[in-house]
Amino acid sequence: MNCLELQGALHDVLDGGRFPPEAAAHLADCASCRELYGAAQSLTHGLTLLPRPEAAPLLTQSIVAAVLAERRRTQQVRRRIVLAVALAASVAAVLLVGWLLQTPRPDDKMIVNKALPQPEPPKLIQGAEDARTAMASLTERVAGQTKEQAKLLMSVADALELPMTNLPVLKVDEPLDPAAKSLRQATQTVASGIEPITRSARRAFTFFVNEMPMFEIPQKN
Amino acid sequence: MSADDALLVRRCLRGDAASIQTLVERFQSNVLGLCIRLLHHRQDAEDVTQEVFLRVFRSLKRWDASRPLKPWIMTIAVNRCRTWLTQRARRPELVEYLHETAASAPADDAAELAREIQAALAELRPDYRLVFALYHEQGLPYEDIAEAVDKPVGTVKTWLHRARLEILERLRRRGMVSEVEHELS
Repeated sequence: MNCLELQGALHDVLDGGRFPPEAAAHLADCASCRELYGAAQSLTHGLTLLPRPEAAPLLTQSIVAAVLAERRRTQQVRRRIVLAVALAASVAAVLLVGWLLQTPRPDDKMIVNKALPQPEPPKLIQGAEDARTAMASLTERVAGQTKEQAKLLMSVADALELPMTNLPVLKVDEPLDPAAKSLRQATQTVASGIEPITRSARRAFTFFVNEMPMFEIPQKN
Repeated sequence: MSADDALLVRRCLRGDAASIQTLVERFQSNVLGLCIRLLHHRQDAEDVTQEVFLRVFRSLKRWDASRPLKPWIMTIAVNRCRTWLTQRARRPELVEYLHETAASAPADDAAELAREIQAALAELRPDYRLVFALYHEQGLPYEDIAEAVDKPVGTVKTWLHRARLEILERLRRRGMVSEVEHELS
């Protein structure tokens, strides 16, 4: 065994191992290693003599008090955090509910739309077409009624066998003879028959004018 | 791992004041001893000890119950001492701290030997002193020391080997050598 190996053996002893038997021969020959071994024995003994630090009586109480105080602070902080989170969640929930109540859902909107279909605004072309149709039908009705009245007059004239070329000239101031009276009555009948038709035509035309969109006339500067 | 430690920790986590005091008393001398060894100042050591236990209870939930409690606490103590030493190095009154613990020296041989060992420890490089204290004073195995100082086991063994050699050399120079002939016979 050499000095280096003996140092290793010393550390094994300090680690709690046993000193190898062959080390004795080296120690007997090597004064330096012998001193080192002696120092190691002193160290082993001296380590047992090292004073164990005794904590001051107040240190334990101080540590425990500090630990408990910190736990209380931590719990208070946690409680505050939980409270703040709960408060924030409540406010958020209230806001959400309010928003949901104020905003109609898409389904509701569809139901409303289905229940109350909105009339489409009249188009100009369609309005003009309707007016034209109404005017045509009114004109056709008036023409038909006029033709019926004319036929009636012609049949009366045929019955009286009046010459168509020598018809008397009617004077407004003179009293009408019975035949003339009947003619006037027939004319009034025609007029009274035409009146509701013309009134309807006037209403139709008024409707057409009212439904027409307003056009702005650009003003000249 | 001690089942008693696990039970104690569970009670502490429930906030039981008596259990907290028990845990402090169980490990207080170990933590304080290491702090005194590393800081060389009792008042600083007590302050750091208090900080260590505050951190212990702060992170007690993260303790792995399958592992022993003492190395975990000592790891926290080592880290706090290192931080304290770093902060103290920036302060100007550093000189006043040195060797304060070893200053009160009894007169008999045993006390003188203890004082020499403490003085030798004080002169060690901080890493060596830390490893020596954890191994010889706190009784931690190499693996736990390696975890506490965040170094490989091989590094820990090397540091401890060098620390021992420096202390042995100092004891030899001071004549603190036992009689070899008697021990070998």
